[in-house]
Amino acid sequence: MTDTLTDLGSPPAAPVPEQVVRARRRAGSGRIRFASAVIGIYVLAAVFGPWLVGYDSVATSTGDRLLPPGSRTEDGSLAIFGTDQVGQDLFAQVLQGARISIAVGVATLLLAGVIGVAIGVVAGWYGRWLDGALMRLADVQLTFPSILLAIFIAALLGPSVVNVVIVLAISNWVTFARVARSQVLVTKNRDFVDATRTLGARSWHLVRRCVLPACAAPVLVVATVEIGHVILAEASLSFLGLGTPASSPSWGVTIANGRNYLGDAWWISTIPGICLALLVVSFGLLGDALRDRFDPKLKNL
Amino acid sequence: MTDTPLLSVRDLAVRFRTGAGQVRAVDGVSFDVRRGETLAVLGESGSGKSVTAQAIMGILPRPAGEVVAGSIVYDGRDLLAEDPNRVRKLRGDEIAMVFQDPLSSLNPVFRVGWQIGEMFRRHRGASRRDARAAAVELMERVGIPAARRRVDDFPHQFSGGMRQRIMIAMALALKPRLLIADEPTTALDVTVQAQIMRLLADLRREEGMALVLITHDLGVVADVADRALLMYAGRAVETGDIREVYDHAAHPYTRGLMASIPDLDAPRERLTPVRGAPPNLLDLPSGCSFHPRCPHATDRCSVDDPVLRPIDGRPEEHRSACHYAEEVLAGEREPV
Amino acid sequence: MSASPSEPLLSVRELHTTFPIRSALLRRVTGHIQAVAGVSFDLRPGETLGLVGESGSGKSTLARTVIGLEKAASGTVTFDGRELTSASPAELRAARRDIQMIFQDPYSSLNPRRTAGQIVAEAWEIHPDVVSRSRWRDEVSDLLARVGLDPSHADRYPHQFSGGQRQRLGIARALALKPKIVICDEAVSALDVSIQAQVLNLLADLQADLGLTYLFIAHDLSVVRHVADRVAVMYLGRVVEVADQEEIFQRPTHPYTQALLSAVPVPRPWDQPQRESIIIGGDVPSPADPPSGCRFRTRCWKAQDVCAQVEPALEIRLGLHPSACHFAELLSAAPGNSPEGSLTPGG
Repeated sequence: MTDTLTDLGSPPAAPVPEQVVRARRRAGSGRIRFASAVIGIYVLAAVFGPWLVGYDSVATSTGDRLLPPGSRTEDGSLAIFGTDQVGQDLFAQVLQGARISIAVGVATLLLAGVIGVAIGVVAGWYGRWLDGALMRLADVQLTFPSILLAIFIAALLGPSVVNVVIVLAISNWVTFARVARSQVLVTKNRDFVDATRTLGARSWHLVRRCVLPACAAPVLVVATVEIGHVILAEASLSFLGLGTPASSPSWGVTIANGRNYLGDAWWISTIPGICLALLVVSFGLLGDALRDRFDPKLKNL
Repeated sequence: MTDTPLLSVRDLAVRFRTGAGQVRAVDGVSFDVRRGETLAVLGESGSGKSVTAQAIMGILPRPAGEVVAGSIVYDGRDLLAEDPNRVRKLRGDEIAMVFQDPLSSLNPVFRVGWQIGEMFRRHRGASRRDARAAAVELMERVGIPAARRRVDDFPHQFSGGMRQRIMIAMALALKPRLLIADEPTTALDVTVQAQIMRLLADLRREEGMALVLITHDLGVVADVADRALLMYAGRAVETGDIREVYDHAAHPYTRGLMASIPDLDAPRERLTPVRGAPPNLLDLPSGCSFHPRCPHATDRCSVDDPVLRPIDGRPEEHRSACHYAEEVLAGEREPV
Repeated sequence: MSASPSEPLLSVRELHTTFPIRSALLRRVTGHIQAVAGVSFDLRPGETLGLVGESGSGKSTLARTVIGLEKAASGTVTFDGRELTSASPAELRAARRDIQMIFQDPYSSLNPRRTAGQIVAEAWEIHPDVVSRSRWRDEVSDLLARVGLDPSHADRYPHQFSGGQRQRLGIARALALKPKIVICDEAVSALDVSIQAQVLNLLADLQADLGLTYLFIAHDLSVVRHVADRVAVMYLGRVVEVADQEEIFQRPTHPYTQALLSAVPVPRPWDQPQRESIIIGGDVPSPADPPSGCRFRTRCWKAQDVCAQVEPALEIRLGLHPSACHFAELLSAAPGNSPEGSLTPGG
């Protein structure tokens, strides 16, 4: 055996103090577990809820109007969250709302994420005038109020779930683009990218193998932070009548419906409001905790 | 009493807490630094040499690092036992330190003259004008050309070598009796490295201070150091007069390190480096922690942990932590 | 004494690489850094050419230009008869298979998100004709074993290896395309002494086994002495002296080479009392504004008026070897002129 073979199977080098200090701390485990549990319950409710508790958007039951939480309806079933002004079960509505809110949130993030990451990677990778042009576009986007855009699109195309997703994606891709771009700028000058380039790799290979994997963690963190915002924005748009149509009662629609009955039927607006707040806070908590663990540099976003 | 050492470290042990468990970064190290002498502390990464310096200076990263045993006695006072405030003052006034990376040790937003002068303002209560004058004087002392003009420059306007001179000027400001330099030339080019080593040697002689030079490079300190201390995996493995240690290395690790250095005068012969890699501190080998890499190791070495001891036939001061120091020295034990 | 002079494998002529300096505010180009300012050299098959110099000497930029990571401003790089600086991207990619590089930093030069096996096989992903996919596993094992790594560690990620092991992995990646030339850019500088010696031995074994040609870039002259057949000394973007390694180390004629050699720390200085100590003052000047004439003159103890006016050519002087100094002379011929103790930088 020659001495060049002596590294065989030797253990990794001794941790030097800097590494010791920087040793991975399991930051925010408690927060992550709590928030994930809450979000998990919401997702289960959104997926299976409407299936177990049927909901019909056009059904009315005048005898059951404005029943407080815990009442019995005329057909003898229990209305845990009470009923609304047309006698519909609020619990079923909230479950349906969860499905719409989460679906809109996920779809928006997918769309915004794909657009944003693509633009950010192209801007960061090619740089120069393309970078300048795309990032100015992002700046313009940020200065344009999303509500205005929503009114515009709703007026043009009419309210629908798909339109909500498009509006929200247009207002949210910028964050993804910026994160992806900054990650590209950091990564593209790393030695390992040069090393791959010396192997003869073309841009597409470098982006796919070196740059995109480096973007994955920060983009996921940003997505978690953003999904709360998106769900809230969807509720706001729906509350204003610019979002989902009344036939798909998202939380914002239900809250808006209850607005006129706040005095004598507080639960119509309050219960979906609490559901919304709890979900948004949980996503915020999860996003913060993930960011602390994976990428403390993103703190200012 | 001039024959008591200026600094006396006894059985120092430093523990670091990591995500994967606790490590003893320094494990029972003892050494003395005499007044006015230069001690070279040598070892590879992970040997504990820098942690030892951090422990002396009281700048271990908290809360991960902690001195768990031993004493650090400076001029008759135990730095680990005394009132922290007095110790802090002592460390500012009498013990100074120079780091490897001068750029990250200097504050980028303050002018260098201001940063050097701060030593005088804070510790000596000097006025701004006096502090500035003293800063210029110090910059000239450490060989920064046009010091009067450059005193108001910012750190980034200086080259690496000049920044290291500025760090040395700051360390010298309060006329310390002990200067600890942690890899002071590692980040510098060879021609500049030679300048800085010359400067440190001159300053030590002129100021009469003691110098502790921490480095991985056995070559750079050979000219200036009086004694050497070799560390491996948190332990002292060999110590003595530097010439004695280099010429008559009695620990296989020291020998291996010497053999690893390409010789400027003997080209192209195959090097005979220490085999393997430094051990994982989380999982140190039993017995002598060097035994898995040692060409002389026997069964005894994996069980029996050797202590630093004098070597038969060599000066009392020369010590080696090897069961077979005499045989290693005599070359009797051929590598197995 | 060295191998018979055959056709050079790589031939570099009058290569210049410049970087624009932009103003902070308007990003306007306000000047140029001449990182490589007219360098010529040949690399013969099977030899090791050592390229030494301090930071700012342009040695790494030169390597990056040769391998195509930087664009040459002017000059030519000819590999195996093909001119690379004017080659099409496709030709360039083909040529790159024959020229590979080992990087300095074993931490940043490996993609942290890919396994050792994937890192080595990446070259074949890009050039599928070199090794068919069904043979990847075996070839990866062979390469890992060849550089002294355990083939069963192919599924490990870079952070699970020590610094020395990571550098071996970088070597395995460079060998994957069976290159003719390997550029080692400070390939052992970041390693501990004992590990550095192991890697140097490995590089020597690989050269002997595979007939590799090395362009070996380092700031450490003892390392270069140990591996190089010939040595070129660079200062501020130019080659100031080039010769067989024995010549450079025994009979340097350029003052910079002499100072550089004198500054190399030796482990046992007391064994060489006759060793001259030349400590030159100051730092390398900025490559954005190099001195006129001879670029070394601001730090040189021999500098005369002519040095500021006429740039000395790199030509054979004293009948020995090429040296770019008007006053080239052997060191022993210049006693008393040694700038011993001159700590104050010139200028």
